[in-house]
Amino acid sequence: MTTIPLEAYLTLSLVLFGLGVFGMIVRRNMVTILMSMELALNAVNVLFVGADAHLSLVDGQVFALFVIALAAAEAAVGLGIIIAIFRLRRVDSTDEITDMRG
Amino acid sequence: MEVLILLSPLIAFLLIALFGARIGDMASALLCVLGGAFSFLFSLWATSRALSEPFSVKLYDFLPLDAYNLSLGLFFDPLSSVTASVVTFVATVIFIYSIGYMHNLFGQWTFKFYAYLSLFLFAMLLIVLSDNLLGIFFGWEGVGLASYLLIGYFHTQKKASNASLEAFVLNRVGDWFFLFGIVASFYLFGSLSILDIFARVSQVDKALLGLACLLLFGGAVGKSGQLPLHTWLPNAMAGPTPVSALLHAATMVAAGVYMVARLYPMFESAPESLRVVALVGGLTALFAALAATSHTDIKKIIAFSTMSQLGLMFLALGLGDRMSAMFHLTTHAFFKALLFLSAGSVIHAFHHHVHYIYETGRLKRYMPITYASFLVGALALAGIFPFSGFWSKDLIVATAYEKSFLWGVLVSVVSFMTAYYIFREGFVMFHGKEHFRHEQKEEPHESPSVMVVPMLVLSVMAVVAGFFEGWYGGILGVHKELHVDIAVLSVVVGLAGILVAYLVYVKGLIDPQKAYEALKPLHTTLKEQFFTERFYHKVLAGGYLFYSKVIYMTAERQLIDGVVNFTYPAVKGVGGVFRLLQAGRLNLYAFFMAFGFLMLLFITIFWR
Amino acid sequence: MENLLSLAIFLPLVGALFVGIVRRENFSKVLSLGISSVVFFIMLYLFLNFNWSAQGFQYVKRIDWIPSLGISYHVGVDGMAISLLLMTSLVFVVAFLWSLKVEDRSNLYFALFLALETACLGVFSALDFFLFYLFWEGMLIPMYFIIGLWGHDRKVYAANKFFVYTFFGSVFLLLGLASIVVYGYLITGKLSFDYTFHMGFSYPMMLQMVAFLLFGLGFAVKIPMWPVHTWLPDAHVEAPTAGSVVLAAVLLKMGTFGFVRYSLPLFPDASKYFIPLIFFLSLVAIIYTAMMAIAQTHIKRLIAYSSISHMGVVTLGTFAMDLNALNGAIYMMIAHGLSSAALFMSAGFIYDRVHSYHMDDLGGLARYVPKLAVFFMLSGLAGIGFPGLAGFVAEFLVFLGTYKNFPIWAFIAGVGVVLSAAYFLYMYKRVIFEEETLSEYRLEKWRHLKDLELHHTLSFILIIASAFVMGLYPYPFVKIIEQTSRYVLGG
Repeated sequence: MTTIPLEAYLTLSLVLFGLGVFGMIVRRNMVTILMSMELALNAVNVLFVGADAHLSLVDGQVFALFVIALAAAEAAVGLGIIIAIFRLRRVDSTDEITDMRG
Repeated sequence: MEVLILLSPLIAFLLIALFGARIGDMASALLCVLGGAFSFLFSLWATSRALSEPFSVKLYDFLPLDAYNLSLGLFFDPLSSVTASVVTFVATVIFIYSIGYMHNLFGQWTFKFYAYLSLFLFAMLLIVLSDNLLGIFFGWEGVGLASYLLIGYFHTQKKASNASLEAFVLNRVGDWFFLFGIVASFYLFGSLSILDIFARVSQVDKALLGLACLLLFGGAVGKSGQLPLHTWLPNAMAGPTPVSALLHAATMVAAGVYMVARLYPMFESAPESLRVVALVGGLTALFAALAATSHTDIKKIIAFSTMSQLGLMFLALGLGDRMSAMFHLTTHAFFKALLFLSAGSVIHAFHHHVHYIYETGRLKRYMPITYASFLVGALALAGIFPFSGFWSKDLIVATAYEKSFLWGVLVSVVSFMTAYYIFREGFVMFHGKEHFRHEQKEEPHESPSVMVVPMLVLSVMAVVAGFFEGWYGGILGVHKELHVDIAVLSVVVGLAGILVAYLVYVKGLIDPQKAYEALKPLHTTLKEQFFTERFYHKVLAGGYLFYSKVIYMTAERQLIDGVVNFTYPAVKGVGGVFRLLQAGRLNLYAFFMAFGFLMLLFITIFWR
Repeated sequence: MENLLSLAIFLPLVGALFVGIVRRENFSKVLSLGISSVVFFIMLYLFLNFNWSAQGFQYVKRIDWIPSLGISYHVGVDGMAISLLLMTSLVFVVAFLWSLKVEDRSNLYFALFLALETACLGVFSALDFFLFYLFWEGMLIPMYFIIGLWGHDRKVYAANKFFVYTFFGSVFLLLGLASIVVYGYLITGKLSFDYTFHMGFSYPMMLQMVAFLLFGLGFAVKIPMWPVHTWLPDAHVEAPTAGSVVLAAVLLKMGTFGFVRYSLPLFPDASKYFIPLIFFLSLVAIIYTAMMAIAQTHIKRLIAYSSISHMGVVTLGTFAMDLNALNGAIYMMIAHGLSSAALFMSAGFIYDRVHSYHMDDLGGLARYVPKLAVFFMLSGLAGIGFPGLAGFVAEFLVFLGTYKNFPIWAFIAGVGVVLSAAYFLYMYKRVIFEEETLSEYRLEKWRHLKDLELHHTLSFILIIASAFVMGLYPYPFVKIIEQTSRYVLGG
């Protein structure tokens, strides 16, 4: 059985993370940004699990589980906030929510 | 017991200051007189002891100066105790006189006046009796304060409050020198007690001693109104007349001469400093005499004459003759007080509305006693035999001629002018035309007896004080011969001055007004004291004020505070630049995060 | 005995809590006055029992606080500190007495002043750098609110300027403290903020100089020395009377206290090295600010500038490296505390009655409020160093001591004697004496002016009497102060 080399995990993770960050930077829709964030988090999960497989440990998998739980919670709260904002303002683009401008 | 000399005026001061409003003006005046009188009695008693043997009284430990303990105390020797007696005597007489003089102001908090008078006497006695330099300085500043309060007594008038301010500030200039004179002496002698100083005076460095003496003399210049700190003295006439009398006769201005005489061993050991003393004294004597000849203010003429006489005393001190300086100070106290009291009597007769000699005239008809008193004072001042001024001035003239012919001539010239200007004042006021007719409704009248009696007492003293010359020389350990030639000379000079005044102002040989017109530039120069007063007021004081304001508006407000206040816009401006980054755009923040993360990554990887 | 000092320090803070909880105006006033009097008597007791011939600190109390960082609660006093504490507690009594008629938010007002008293007392008694800095900064907060809430027209500007400026200085002070603590740690391996621990060190010259400048900047802002002085006139002008009194009498002394307590003994070589700089700044302060003072038409601004001028004398004496001069400098701190307090009280009283600080609006007050005129004169005389009052002893000692090593500097500084008389009397003339320039309208108003009330008179008497005692019998005071001067100069 051929093992998948660590580099593959790393590359995948990096690409996914890059996509996530890229999405966060360029997209204006808040839901999309949230999804990009999930992508970036999952990229980290891939890295954790991949590294575990390479080192034959389980710590990373435990961490990955935590991250999944965290991502779920975050998605719930984040979506809640987005919906609240949408209800209040009728906008979903980050361009129109600049209240924190200095 | 001897402390009571000091304490009685002090207690009078405190009582009047605290309870004056309740006990009333008359009671305050009496307290003040009592304080002076008791002080006089105690000083007589102390004098009787001090004449046989000098003694000192320790008061208390004042200040620890590292290893040296400075304690305040009093020292009674013939010089100090006799001076104290003279001071208290003249002061008491003036206090009595002031009851009459100030009577029309009773009910307007005049108790303050008596409180200040008592304070004045206390401070002067502190100068006279202290056994150390710091104690002298206490009194020194004390008379400064008292004179400030008294000169500015009519403080609602701008003239008076300006004069008092000027007096205090110019005195403070002197005090500045005096203070550093004390400091310098402390390092020279390791002590401030004058007895210690006298004991060690021969062992110290001459140059440094000279410096210390000059600094101390600077204080005397301020206090005695000598050049160049003189302008306050004539302006001080803004105060009530008893104050002028006190200021010029017994207390304030005499302090300078007395201090130099007191510390004479120091000055003697540094002959260079004495030369300065003589020079300043001689110049002032001439300067003030010139100024006196062209003034018309009743009191200012006498004030300039004081300046001039003090100059003569300093000249005598500078020429090494302490005894005649001190003796002249003593006789001068009597006849100058007398002159001022007579002048005050004239002013009082006109209800304080008259200030210039040409507003009076022919008063001998109305005020014979005042006339007589003034005459006695003037004759004494002019140095006519046998009045007291003759004896003391003669000593100075003799000393001056002994030292050098030039000094002698200077003193003679000053004496001539002295006789001239004082009789000019006398003739215009008491003889001549009644200039007051069209101004005043009432006729002038002789003063009440509470004022006349002190004048008579002082007249007697002004006549007889001179006969104590031998005795006074004796207690100071100096014996002087009367030089007949010089005595004759000075009397002739004095008579010549009187004659000139008589010819001009009584006989009308020359019309003085026309003469003044003809010599206008000279007259103005003299009257303006060679423009020194104007220079001080306009250029020095005005310039100081002006530049202070300019610097305040520019350096302080614009520059220093400008920089401080500029920090606010500066920080705001810099913040404004960074504020652009904080655009409130989520995507931008994400980009910055990613960018920052990448930069950190690069740094950790490639920074080797 | 040891606990007495701590009790005195924290009693006002406890009082402040009570004032905050109870919130009854009369209770606040009585409690504040009572507590400050108790503190004053404790300080008097400690002062009278102070042993001036013994070395080192007395009434020392030390409890570990944060042992891992070497921070402890450590208080104690030397001769200088106990004298300043006595003066501080007296000034607070007077400040409370003076404020008895305050109506506006008086609970908060008294609570803030009580808190301020704790901070002020703490600064003078702390023997631990951390504790010292805590009190040093803690003092800013109540003062900020006192100026900002009860001040005059531009109070917010003044309060902000005061806070930011002094905080700016404090940051450098903190850096300096940290630098020597870290150095101590590097040398001995022991982290300690204790003052006595650091006193035994001799630091290398470079560190001394850096730390001296850092400390110096922190202190200089507080003193204030020229040219970082401009916050003071603004703060004084806007502050309420009692605020000005405390500001001038106590807060300014912290800077000079810091110089004597910290800079001189910790960095002796750097102190010697920087003498010309300090002397130059002192002389500029004495002469330049005296000129600024005479240019003013605002009474409080003038007094504020005169304070700076007098603090110049203090810094001059501090760095003259002479026992007498140092004695004089410390004496001046106390003397100036008394005189400036009295002067600001006079100015505040005039404002209360006439509602103006401007000399152009004033004049001829002597006839209408004579008691004030007397006390104003006495305060001024105390300020200009008139013999018989405390200021003279101080000036004399400073000039005497400075003259020993630096005669020319001392002589030039002496011109302050003349200039101070000029600006004070010039003001006095315009405010109290001259009446000719006054309009009929004002004269009519003046006729109904009310003179000092009982609490005003009492306040003045407390201050002026102290100034007289210190001026007429300075012997014990100088002896107690000398206890500090001797160890500071390493004798």
